[in-house]
Amino acid sequence: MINKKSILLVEDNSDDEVLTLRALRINRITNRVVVVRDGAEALDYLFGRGSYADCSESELPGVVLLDLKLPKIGGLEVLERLRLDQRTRLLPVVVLTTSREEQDVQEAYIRGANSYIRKPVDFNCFLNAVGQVGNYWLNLNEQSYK
Amino acid sequence: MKLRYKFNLLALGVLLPVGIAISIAGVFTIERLAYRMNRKLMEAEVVKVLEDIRSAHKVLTESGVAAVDSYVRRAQADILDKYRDFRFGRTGRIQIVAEPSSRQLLPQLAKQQNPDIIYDEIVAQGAQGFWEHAHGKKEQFHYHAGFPAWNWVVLMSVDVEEMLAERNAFLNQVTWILLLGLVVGLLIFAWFARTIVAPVQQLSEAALAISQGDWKKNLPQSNAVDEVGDLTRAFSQMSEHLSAAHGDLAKQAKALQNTNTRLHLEITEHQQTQQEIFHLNQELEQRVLQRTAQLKVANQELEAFAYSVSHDLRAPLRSIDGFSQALLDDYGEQLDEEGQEFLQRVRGASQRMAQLIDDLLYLSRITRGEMIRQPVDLSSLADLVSKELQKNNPQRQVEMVVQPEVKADGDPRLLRVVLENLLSNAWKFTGRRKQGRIEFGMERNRSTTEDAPPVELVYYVRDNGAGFDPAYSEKLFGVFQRLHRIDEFPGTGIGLATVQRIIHRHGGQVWADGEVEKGATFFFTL
Repeated sequence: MINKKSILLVEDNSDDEVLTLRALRINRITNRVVVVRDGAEALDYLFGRGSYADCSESELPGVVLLDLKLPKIGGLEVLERLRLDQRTRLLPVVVLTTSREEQDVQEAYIRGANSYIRKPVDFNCFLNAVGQVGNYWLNLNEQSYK
Repeated sequence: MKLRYKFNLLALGVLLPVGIAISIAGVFTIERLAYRMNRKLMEAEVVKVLEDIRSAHKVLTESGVAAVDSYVRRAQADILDKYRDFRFGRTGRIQIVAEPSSRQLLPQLAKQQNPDIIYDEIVAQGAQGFWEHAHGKKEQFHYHAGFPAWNWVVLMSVDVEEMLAERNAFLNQVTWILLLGLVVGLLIFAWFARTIVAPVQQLSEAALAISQGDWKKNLPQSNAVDEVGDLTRAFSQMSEHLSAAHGDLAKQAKALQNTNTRLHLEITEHQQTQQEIFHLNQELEQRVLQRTAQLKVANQELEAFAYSVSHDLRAPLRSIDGFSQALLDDYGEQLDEEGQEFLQRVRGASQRMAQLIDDLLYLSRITRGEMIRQPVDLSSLADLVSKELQKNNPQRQVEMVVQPEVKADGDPRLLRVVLENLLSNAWKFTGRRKQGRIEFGMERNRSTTEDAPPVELVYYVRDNGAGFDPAYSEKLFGVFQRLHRIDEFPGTGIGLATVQRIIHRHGGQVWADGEVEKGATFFFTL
């Protein structure tokens, strides 16, 4: 695969980060994974500001795996800001979180989430979920780049 | 004009004319009788004188000396002598007048004395007759008759005054009698007035007083045995009755007034009580508002807590499970069979805990949220649930009996949860039966406990499964309470707790009947 799209993983829990990366690897999803640890960093990365201001790389990730419960700026707010920006308004964002509260699910979709996945406790189920999400958003799904 | 004066006037008006009329009639009668009597007497006297004259004349004629003057004179003188002292009554006397010279022979006149009889008057009356003549102030009644042989006229005179003395005396007496009669009449009328008019007047005054509301005026009394007496007594009696009635009325009015006052007081008290109730109510409402606000805050805190439980408690579990799996995957060969089994147990435990967390959250979500009551067809809900169970477990042989047309009033979403839990429990506990049987239905008028009155509608789910020891039936509905080992029948022990919460939210009751290995029946009301 040439010019593979990267994956942006927004995750503050290092356990979850390790497990997610492991799941991606077991699922043979070899795309580059960028990990940021809070909402502010995620926005900096995507908008090329702050510590990411001097990065020449302007390409957006193929998919953002976004946790909702984040330090500084929460997942829902990140989502909202992304959708307000012309460049990122169509960026695929998959909410990957522990919560299954109906309110969270609704709020996420209202703010323009493309998908809402609850992290199962059973690692094998999680493995399966990550594999499907990766394959779907990175390989199967056609994106608009406008 | 007062009645008394009217009566007095009546007395005068009747008595006076009657008395006067009788007096006048009496006077006229007496006068007439006096005249008649005097005429007869006077005529008789004059006839007697004339008889004497006639007999003397006869003697003279028979003697043949009637023409001899001296004899005649002597006879005449005898006659005159005889009647010289004649008196009739007090004023009556005989007068003899000789014609034609109209010389008065009797009574003899002194020289130069004028005769008291006016001869012309006599002539004017004719040969004989009665007549009246006024001699100066004196009225006289005369009768005269003539004796032509001697040319004599005999005249009898009486003073009218004397003649009418009886009349005057009568008039005098009658006047006195009349006056006396008047007085007596007036006295009688006065008595009359006193016994008739006065009581009537008293009656009228008493009636007037009563009509003006003066009940204390003395009532007229009477002992008279007549109609007025009867009337007076009747009036007095009536007035006493009236007065008594009035007294009663006054008493009643007073009692009524007292009642009114008391009622007014009671109303005031009632109003005060109402005001107090109103204040208390307001206070209560205020408190309810405060409590509601506190409850809202508590609820919000609970929700935040539940949220953080759902989020934060699960994350470590995921790590435990994930890294256990990683150990098994990457270092599995370095562990013996027991070590691998331990890791599997760690994973099982973490997954169970995740399930517990999920169930707890579910339970708390059931008791929050809005409840909308509406008619629910429980039969079709039970059908739906049992079809799902059969679809998920096609290998099982279970007979599902759902009574048709079982309706209820409740929240359809929550009632579905109830049926899901009860039916899936029944499904689970009939797992060891070759031919499982599950019934859903409704009974009427069944008591919840032995003492309680019967409830109109009781729903039930019955199975022929593993049942339970009735000694622990109280524990069935506790959170995380289980009566079976987990390797016998899986589950977290949250299902019946959820059912109980939902039933309680509907204001109903849930209870169970069962015996070990003889099946169980779960009843609920709504």
